[in-house]
Amino acid sequence: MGGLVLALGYLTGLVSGPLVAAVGGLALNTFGRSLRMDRRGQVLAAAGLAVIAGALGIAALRWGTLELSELRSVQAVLGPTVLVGPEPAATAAIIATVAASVALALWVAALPVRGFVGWAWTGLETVSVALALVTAFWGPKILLVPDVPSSEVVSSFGVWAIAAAVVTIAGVGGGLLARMLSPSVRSGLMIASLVAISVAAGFIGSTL
Amino acid sequence: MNPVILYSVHTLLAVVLAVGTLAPPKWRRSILLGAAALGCIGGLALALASGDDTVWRSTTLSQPRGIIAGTAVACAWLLAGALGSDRTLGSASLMGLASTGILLATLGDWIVPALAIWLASSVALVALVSLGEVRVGALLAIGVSDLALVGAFALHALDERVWTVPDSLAGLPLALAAASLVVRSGALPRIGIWEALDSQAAPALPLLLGGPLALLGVPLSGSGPWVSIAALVVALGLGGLSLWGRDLRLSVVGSWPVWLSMGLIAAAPAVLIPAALAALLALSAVALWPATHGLARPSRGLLLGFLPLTAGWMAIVGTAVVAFDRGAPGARPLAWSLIAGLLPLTVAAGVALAARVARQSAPNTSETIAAWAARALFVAGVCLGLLSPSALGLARDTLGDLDNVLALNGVAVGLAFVAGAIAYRRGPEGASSVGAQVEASAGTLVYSEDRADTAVMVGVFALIAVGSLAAVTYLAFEGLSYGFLPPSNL
Repeated sequence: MGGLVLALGYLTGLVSGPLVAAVGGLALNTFGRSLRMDRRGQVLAAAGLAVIAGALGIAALRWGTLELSELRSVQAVLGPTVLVGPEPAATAAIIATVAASVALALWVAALPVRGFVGWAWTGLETVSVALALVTAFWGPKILLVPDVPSSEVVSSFGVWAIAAAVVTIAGVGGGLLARMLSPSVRSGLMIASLVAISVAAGFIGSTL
Repeated sequence: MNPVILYSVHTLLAVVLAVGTLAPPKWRRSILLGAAALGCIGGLALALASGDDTVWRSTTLSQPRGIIAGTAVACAWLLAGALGSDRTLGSASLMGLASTGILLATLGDWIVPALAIWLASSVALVALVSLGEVRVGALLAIGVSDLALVGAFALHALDERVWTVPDSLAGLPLALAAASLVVRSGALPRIGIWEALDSQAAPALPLLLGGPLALLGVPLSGSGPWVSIAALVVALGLGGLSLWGRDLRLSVVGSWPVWLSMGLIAAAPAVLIPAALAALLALSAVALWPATHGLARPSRGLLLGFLPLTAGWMAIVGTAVVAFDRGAPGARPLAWSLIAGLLPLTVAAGVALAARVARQSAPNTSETIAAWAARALFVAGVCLGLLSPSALGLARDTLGDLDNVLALNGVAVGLAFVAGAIAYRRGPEGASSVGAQVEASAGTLVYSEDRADTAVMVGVFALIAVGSLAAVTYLAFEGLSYGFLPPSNL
């Protein structure tokens, strides 16, 4: 509960602050869920968190800032992180996005969920992760300042909301699919995601 | 408050406890609890009073040393009260003596008196860890670390001809100071001071960590990104080791916060206070562990994992801000980028470790004082995490716009409290745990109990102690020959 409030508070722009503060909310969510997992589930959930946090870190290193407002602003001017060159940086961002999406699906699959309330809560937690990824990699600025025309506010908010919804659906849907996989296959996919994040980090490191 | 009172109250309490050993058994427990409460308040008062830079004799009640040392003493008294019985007044008395020594040494301005008092406090600690049985590993850890500390300060003083306690070290003195911290603080898993775990000497653990952190934290902070990387990698290794085994070994889990704090402090000097306090709270929670009978598990997990909203999380955020700022294009970005890459792994390892700790099996669910003490540590950690970052030496906007952050944190804590209350009302049946619970054991490697070997190792310790004392004596005479007042000290 506390983790969700923290993450959404930062990611919706209610509170300005560093991206890592939002990661703290995701970490608390993962901790709360891990209390009801077995050892393998705990390790998978923590590894998923590591991949997602690592991907967010790659976006932060790409733009040289941890501030959420600056990440939104720079993408509003230059474009989404995954589309802006130089080529190694864009490649790193794309790899990180894919790896984080896979990790999100595996993270959802690791959560013990039962009943409608459980799935609704899981959906909210997935939204918080999706908002973090969208803000870092596809982050049009949310225009909520007085001088901006309302049509621009709606369009900017719309794109942001659609992107977050797509990632959420991919996360929950991927999670449902991943539940059909054997634990060893899920572990293999998580290891592949970790390797992909390392490769992305190498790409982003080459641009520094 | 007068610093004389803040320093000496622990010695007075030690005298009261020593006299209390003669009291009827039914009174002893009350005497111990009363003394522990007063000692705890005394330590906290000193921590809160530091920053005024009040000078008394050759000591200055300054930040960050005062905060760290005061908190270490408060934690030690908390452990003495929570773990004690009517038979532990003597050990608590020794702990009180050591507390005054630690405070005077870490807040000392001049090297020679600080080292002399430090060695005196070590004598009390040695007596404490030797109560009941000779714990050779702990003795050697204290002796070797003291020798390394004296060597570090002596080399620095003789090279620079400066007789004040250093705020920065380099080269061999820095390496020796780091070695002293590692050996004494519990960073070495399973050996050394971990022999004191689950014994009447357990209250010494916060002093053994807090003392060197207060004295050496400033010179070691900012020792460089590569030192930070090394410490974070070791912390991750220990975290992995704790997750790997079927059972939890407390002497391995307890090393994790020490290395993690060292890694954070080495990268970002500004996080010294939150990182040191987080390590102290986590280590104290580990020391309380065997007596909590499986209670207060999530609280302990959150403290050990450095998770939001504890002081440890603030240290992680502060370090991340520094690492990502310096990891951007500029001078030497590789090391800072590596730290930026290690931090997400650290957070994930903290989450996994915290979850594993929180699933420790509960052989007995009856409430104990130790369980309440563990909860008190958690509340202290959360209170520190909810403070303005500037109160802990960080930039005011580390977590974002302060007013909004405080409101958000307040809402998060309030809702978490409500959720916790609902879960508590549902009881254990409401929590649908899956899989096996986790067993925990001290897991300390105890030195051979062969009496001949023990005698030899105690002899080695005595030689090391004599060496430390000789070095301090030499340093005193060398300083006297210079009048202790070269121009740089004026």
